[in-house]
Amino acid sequence: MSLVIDSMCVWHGARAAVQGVSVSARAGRIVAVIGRNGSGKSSLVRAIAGVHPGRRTGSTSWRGRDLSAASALDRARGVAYVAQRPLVAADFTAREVIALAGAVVPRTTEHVERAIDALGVRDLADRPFAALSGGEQQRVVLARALAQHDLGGLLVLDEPFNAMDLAEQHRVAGAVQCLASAGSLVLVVLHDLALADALAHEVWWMDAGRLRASGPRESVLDAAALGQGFGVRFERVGGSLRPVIAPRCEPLPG
Amino acid sequence: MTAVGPRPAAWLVIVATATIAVILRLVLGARGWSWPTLEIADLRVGAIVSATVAGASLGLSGVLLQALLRNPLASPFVLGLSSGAGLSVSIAALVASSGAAWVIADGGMVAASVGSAVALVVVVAAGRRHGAIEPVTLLLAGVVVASVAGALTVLVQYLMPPSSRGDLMAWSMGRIPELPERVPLVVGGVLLVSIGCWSILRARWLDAACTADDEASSLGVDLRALRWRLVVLSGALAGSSVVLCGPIAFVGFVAPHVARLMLGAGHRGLVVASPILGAALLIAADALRLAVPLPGAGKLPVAVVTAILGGPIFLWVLRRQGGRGS
Repeated sequence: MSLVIDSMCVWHGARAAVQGVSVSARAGRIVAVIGRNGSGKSSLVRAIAGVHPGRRTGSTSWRGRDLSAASALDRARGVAYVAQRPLVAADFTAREVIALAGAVVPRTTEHVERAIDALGVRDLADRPFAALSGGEQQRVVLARALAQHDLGGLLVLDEPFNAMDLAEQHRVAGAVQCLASAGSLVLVVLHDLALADALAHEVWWMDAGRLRASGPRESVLDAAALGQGFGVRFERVGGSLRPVIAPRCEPLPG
Repeated sequence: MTAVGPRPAAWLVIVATATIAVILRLVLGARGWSWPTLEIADLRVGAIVSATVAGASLGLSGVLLQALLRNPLASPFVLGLSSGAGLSVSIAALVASSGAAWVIADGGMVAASVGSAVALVVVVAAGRRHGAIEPVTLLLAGVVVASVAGALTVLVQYLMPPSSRGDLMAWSMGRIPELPERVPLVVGGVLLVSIGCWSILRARWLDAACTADDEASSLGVDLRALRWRLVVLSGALAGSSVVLCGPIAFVGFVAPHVARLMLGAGHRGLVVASPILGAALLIAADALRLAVPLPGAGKLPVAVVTAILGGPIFLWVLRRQGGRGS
């Protein structure tokens, strides 16, 4: 196994957000991390990427190297990360934001230009980052992660599709698949279980800070089990998973 | 791979501004416009060197603090250094007024050094959480230390004989020495050059530190170590400037902003341009204060001129650039 997580515990102050998670994954795969809000998905992937600021115990090993003990610089050479809500507190253009991939780790202009093309953000490159829409900003920070990422490395994406329209999701999902085909391991936190079903090879299902299930997509994304865990009915139509959304209008209290 | 292009026209304007400021100060003396004799030139060059070291230190300190706090409103004095120095100099002046004149015989330099250092230590001690510098907590600690030190300074001045208050008032408004003391000048110069070189080498780290903590960390920045260095180095720069020229507000705030508006947000340009503009602003302020006559042959305090000069320049550039960079 390329990525091995052993007895991972993560705290936010006194609250344990992740409790004793042990799981592993092979390179060349896409792993979707699913679960309800507050289940510990983001805390788990942030701890794996080494960017969780609070206390954590357990170990993360990537291709035999102990990431838990690595310096920020060493980690950045093997692991790229995209945050749920990107923040850039400076008046950079999109291209300057992507070029931050080489701020500490050596990267060339070619890496930046390749990432710009891979995510289709060339038309945004010279616009101020702050003036872009949420989905465009997300694509730009994904391009930055791609510019930092060496094929065969570990890419950690925390809800990257949230602000994107369907066309953007389609493009980014394609780029993620290409990376996995080229030998990278992609960990991606997803709320959209239909997208997880279409994109991922494996699924880790977090529930109340613990790993409720992990394994191949077909076994974890079982419609009946998901219905029980998420409180929404799921069905498979032509092999594709989809939630049955049937909102009911209930009288408001008072 | 750079975050910002070279922008030669902007660099030309920056260098020209600094050159004009130096020429202005060379031809302006206490008695108005005059081409200097050799003796007078020595004094004017002394003032230019003092203003260069202090202004450049404030400019560099400002840009480092704005990166540390991710806040464009930050200036070197948010760490409470000038207030700490002011309190310390006031206490020294009070002691001196009761007979121990030697306490302040050096013009308050030792007292200012001690006050700045103590303020920095208190602010850093209060502004960290779990051993790491936490920007918002640091900012709040700086505001509180500045407020408390300011209030105590007023109290000390109240207790002081009225005849001693004039010197203290003059110190608190800043002054550019024409015959600077060797030790603070050399220490300030060495700090400026060494921290300037460090800032150029780490400029791209400062760029990355403008992203969220988790993103900066994923880009390879050791934020914990970087923040410690930034607070200590920017504090040392601001402290050395206070010791040399007294508290001069506005330079450390406005110089990085003007640099940012001219060159963009990349720190490779900012850490070089901000000290040049800080020095230029302080030299020009010192020259202009000599050109403005006041009743009774007095001269304007330099800190008043930096505010009067820097404010409109900043607003003009801000308006011209449509707010970009702010």
